[in-house]
Amino acid sequence: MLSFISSQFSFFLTLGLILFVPGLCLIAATGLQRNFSSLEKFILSFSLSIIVVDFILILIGKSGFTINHLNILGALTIFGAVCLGIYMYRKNADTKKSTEKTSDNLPAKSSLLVIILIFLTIFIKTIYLQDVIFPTATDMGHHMYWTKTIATTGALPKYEKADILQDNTVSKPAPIADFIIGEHLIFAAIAIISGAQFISAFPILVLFLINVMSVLAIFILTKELFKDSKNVNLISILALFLVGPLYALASPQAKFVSGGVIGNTIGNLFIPMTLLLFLRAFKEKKSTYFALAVFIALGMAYTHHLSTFVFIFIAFFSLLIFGALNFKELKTYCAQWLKLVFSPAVLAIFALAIVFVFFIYTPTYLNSSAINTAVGAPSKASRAGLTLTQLKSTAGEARFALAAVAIVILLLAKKMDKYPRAFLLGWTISLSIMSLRPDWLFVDIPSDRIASYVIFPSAIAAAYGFVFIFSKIKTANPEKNYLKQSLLFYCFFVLITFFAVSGFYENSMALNTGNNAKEAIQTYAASTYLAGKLKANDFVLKDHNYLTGDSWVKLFFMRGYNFPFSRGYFKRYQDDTKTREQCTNNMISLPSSPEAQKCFAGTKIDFVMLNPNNDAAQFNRLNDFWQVYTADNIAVFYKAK
Amino acid sequence: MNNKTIIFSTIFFLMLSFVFLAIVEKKASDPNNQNIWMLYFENPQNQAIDFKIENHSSNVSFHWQFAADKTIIKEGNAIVSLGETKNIPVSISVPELAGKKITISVTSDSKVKEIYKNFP
Repeated sequence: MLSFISSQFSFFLTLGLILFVPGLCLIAATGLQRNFSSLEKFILSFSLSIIVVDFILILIGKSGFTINHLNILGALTIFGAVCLGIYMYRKNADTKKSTEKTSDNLPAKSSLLVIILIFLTIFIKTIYLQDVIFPTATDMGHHMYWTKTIATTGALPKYEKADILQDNTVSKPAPIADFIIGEHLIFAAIAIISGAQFISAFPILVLFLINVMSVLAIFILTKELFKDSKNVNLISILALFLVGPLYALASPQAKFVSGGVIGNTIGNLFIPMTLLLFLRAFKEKKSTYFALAVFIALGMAYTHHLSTFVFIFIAFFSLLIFGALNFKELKTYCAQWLKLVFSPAVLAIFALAIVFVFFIYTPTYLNSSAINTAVGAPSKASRAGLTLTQLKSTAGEARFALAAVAIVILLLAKKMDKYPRAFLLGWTISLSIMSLRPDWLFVDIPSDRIASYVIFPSAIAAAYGFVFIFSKIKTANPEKNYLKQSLLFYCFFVLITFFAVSGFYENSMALNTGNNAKEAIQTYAASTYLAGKLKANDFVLKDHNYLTGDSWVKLFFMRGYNFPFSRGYFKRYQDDTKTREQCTNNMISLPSSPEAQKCFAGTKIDFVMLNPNNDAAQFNRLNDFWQVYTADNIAVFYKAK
Repeated sequence: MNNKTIIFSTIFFLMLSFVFLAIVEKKASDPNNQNIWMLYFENPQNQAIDFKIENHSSNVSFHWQFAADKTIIKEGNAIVSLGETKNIPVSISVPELAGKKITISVTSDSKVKEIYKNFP
């Protein structure tokens, strides 16, 4: 009990130290601390901390120092001291100029409503996560392998894996572009400092925290977008309602958290924060905001390629729409933007980006083959775009319907502030086109992955559309208004109920009926057994189809990303576009076949982990295989020499 | 009410949720809560036939049989309490077992698990 309490204490302390302090120091150094409300500072410091810690760990790793407890804390202390020095210098130099502090106040009822919505958001997600908190998710297992590699070797990981070749032998490890360093460094830092175990609740809890922060980011971004509206609080609270407790579980929310979709979840925090800072930079013509926005975009590029790719399209469409809506004044605006870009702070961030990308650490996906897989005509049916019905289902029916109405209103809303209007239109329209008609933009990425980004702008647009319609009816001349105020009031609640039913229904559909910890524990117990018995010349194959938590097995061996080799989903072995290796399938499905025997000889695999309820029969018939381990849901076979 | 109230409420709710989820995970990760047991050879790669019963179930009585091909050579009972792993040594001369399939069957609460080695 005492060890549990101390591990919790250490975990919370680490979260504060790693995920808030560096960002707060950076905000202080920029001199913008008075320009943000407390809530904005809270979320911004969290976002910036992730990036600062990423870059600090990259610098430690690249400078030849070990990434360990002492060096991380030392580097963070130096970073904090430098930021504090800059802050003190600025404070002394700017004694005459006192910026007015950004107001923190929300009306008491609004604050209470926000707190209730946050409580509901966390509560609903917690209910869902309690069934999946024991780590078994495939993606999370893959990510935690690299995270553990950083923590145990004290060095940046080499993203590479060995594969089975056509001649049935194992290749030397070759680079892979599937993983990006920013997805792992923050988890490695937390694990190293807090001492948290990798097979524990810690990875999901960190991802859960990031998800909650992204929900709050939508709230503050909505406030910023509609800052000049008299209904700003109502719109932002409604956006929080639509993105918080409603549709709280479907992708890309709690399901992405439990599934270990790290890059997307962090991207969903960084995109609104970057938009918020760009919005502030353009509206207030302040280059420091612009520099911070570029800094977060740079962090995004080191964390998730898809989010970065999506963000580039959002930015492009926002500028395009802004240009189209303000064509006559475009020259003046361009001059303002150039002034922002060519400022010392922004140039310094660009210089940092160039130095990092070209001289310190190039993200793994920046190679021509990885770029070619994302750009071009859609190569598969899953990348050819969704139907409108599929997009509606992804965005949430009620949210999607009102967002569509809001887009029309936004296109006609000439009185609305220019930048928020262009940003919201650009965000929503770009993602809709990328999801529905990717061929128009030469996007070759699974359309459902892109569509998962639609929910955030949809929620904001829907909230705006809802408030706009009701405020228009309410403020219309009572003499001309044929609707009674009471009827209007009822309509408001009917529509809110429609939202709530739609959102909560989706939540209920996503709730699990149980957990699979029992099966996963058996997988991990067998892995512990095997890890203790393996010699250097032993190789393992496991099954992905019927074993639970199998992607975590490699964390017990730590002998390579593809150790053990895995029999993947059966459909993967049937590919008309390219020749797929068949060894991993044959060695489990048809172990006595001549093809499988060649594979066993070539790969030197002598241990096989599988589910005895599905695959033991074909091994039981063979004399050269011994069943050396058995439990209800896992068996280990040894190929006798 | 200012934003700080919202921040502190969020932190409080998150901490409550995290502690709750950590407790749930801790409980789920304890094999003794899962009613499972495992059977395995002490050494999987050689011809030794000592085996282990690892018990995480409420049943503590196990009956084991050691058979060469289908002939039972030895059998016995073992009491393995919850969370305990018991090593069961089987002292049989290996030459006697040449060319046979050596099977260890363990029964507990009418559930049978088997492991085996095929001796050359």
